[in-house]
Amino acid sequence: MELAINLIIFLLAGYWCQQGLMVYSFWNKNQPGSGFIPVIFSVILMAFTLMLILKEIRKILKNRSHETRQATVLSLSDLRPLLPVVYTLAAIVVFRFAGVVVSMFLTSFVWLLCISKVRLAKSLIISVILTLMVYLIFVMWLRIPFPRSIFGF
Amino acid sequence: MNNWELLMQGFSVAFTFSNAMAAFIGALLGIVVGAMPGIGAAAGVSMLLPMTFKMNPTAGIIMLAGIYYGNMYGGAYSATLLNIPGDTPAVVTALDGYQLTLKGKAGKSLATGNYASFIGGSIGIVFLTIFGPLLAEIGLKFGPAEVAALIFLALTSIGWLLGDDPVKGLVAACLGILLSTIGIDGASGNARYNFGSLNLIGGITFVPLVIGMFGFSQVLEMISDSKEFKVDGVKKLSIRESMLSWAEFKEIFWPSVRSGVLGNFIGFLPGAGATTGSFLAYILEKRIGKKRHTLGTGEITGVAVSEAANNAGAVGSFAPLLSLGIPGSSTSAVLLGGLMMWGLRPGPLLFESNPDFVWGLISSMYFGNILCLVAGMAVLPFLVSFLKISKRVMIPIIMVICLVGSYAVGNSIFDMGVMVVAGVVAFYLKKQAFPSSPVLLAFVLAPRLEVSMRQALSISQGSLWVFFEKPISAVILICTFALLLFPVIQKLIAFSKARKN
Repeated sequence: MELAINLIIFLLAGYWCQQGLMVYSFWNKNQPGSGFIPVIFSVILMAFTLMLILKEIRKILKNRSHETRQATVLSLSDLRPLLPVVYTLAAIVVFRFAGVVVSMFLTSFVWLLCISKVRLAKSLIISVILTLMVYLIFVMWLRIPFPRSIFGF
Repeated sequence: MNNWELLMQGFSVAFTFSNAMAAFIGALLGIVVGAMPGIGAAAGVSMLLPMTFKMNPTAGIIMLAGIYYGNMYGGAYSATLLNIPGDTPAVVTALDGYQLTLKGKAGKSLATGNYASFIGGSIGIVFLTIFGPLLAEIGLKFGPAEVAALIFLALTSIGWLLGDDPVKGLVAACLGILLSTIGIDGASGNARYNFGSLNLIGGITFVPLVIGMFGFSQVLEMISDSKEFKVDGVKKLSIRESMLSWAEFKEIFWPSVRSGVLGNFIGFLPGAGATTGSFLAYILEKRIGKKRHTLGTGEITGVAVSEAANNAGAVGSFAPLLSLGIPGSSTSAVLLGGLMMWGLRPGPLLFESNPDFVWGLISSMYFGNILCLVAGMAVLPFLVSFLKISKRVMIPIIMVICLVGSYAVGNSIFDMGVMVVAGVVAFYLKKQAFPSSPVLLAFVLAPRLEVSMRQALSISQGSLWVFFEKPISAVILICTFALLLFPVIQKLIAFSKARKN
């Protein structure tokens, strides 16, 4: 996992560096260009991540068999936090089409009832209070122009 | 006008109804959020930041500051009752606080935390009143080269001090700098690194980023760690039983003062913040304190030194923020982002151009600190039932606040997506021990670094000597390089020692 993260950061820094040098110009007429800061810090970042990558590779090589077993276990548990991510993305889609009140009520209610396994009455009460707070603070007080549902809220 | 007159003028600003209410609500919300295990000040302030949009800047920042130092009070509660610090600065509080709970003295520990927080906070505010304007005067002498050098030092020390591995801290800081380069280049006006997206032309919006990094990532952490919090050994707390005797108060007073001064000094340094302050104060007490041999076994002095130092450190971080525009911690970076959103530019000129704002904020802290002490004592009887709120219930609540808050800044669905992505990235980075605070601090500071650096190089016709010609920037840069080389030197010494042996 750490190796993958460092590799992604390294590639990202490489892209930043390439764009800074080729597209945005590093140095122009005795003055720094738009790519000046991105290039400097992407190079530093590449150096640091390379250090971390080498360290990680050395560690993996040192205890090869042990690491492989651990990596399989880790990869399964690493996926667990993606549940709220998928759920939140779905909530954003509902928010876009059903408006803030409906979507926020559903987001909290469905999670409480189905994932947190909270009793129906308690889930309903918490969701209603939360939605009401959101409505009062963000819609009534702050007057944020949220998307609205066909019911007008 | 001298500082005293300005402070008095500030009180007249702080005591208007709206500002006093903002301080009160902020302090109360801060205590509540701080008591919630694992949420932390930065997450609390960032999630509540959108609620201040409608307020005037002074009331808004007074409320956010209240949340920040209220959070320092609240952090001790879950550390004491659950052995889970509400925020990282309260880690040290848990050492003695939880032992006191096991001994049946939870109330005493919580009251000690409140008193010590008040003492530390008061020391911090007095020092801020005295040294804030002095620091701003020094800041006025800074040109682009000095500003660039100072920000470079801040970024290095932030990366170095936060987290266990300095290299990972520096990687995080560099990542924050690269993120900040997305959008319009402040010096030339050209768009860059926007991947052809119109939404990214203005850069990554600060509030969704910070809500994602500190709020949404918390949801992911809660999911990955399914262990529920349990309040063991305490059924009920009462204010009367929690009150300290005169002898107990005398026992904690001087250690609290000592730690407050130390914590405040640490808070002035960028990146060090309240956590380092409380650790150092505890170490100092272990060396010189009267109870040094029994510290860690459930001593109220242990709770007092940690709480005094972290509160003083939290207030101390306002000095570089207001005077130099350099945040001392991730929470003050969120506050800096908030100030910028309101069109205010923290730095040496802020004291001259917006005295009402600066002195109103400082004055509100005196008032807010007293409010926190009163509220902190008043909530004691309700704490046990409050801390019983399950993670299962907290997750959807935080999720909804994150979603609505990230949309509210720019009325953009894209910002909600930014929040989710920032949360996921911050979560996986944190899992691999990359601290997320340097990302945020670098993101906030980098645009100023870039503008100052490019200005300095333009003035000098591209000569790098501009950074070494002036004594202030030369000294700052030498400190920066020393800081960067320190781990290497340390390793070399260890290596040569190992070879000798």
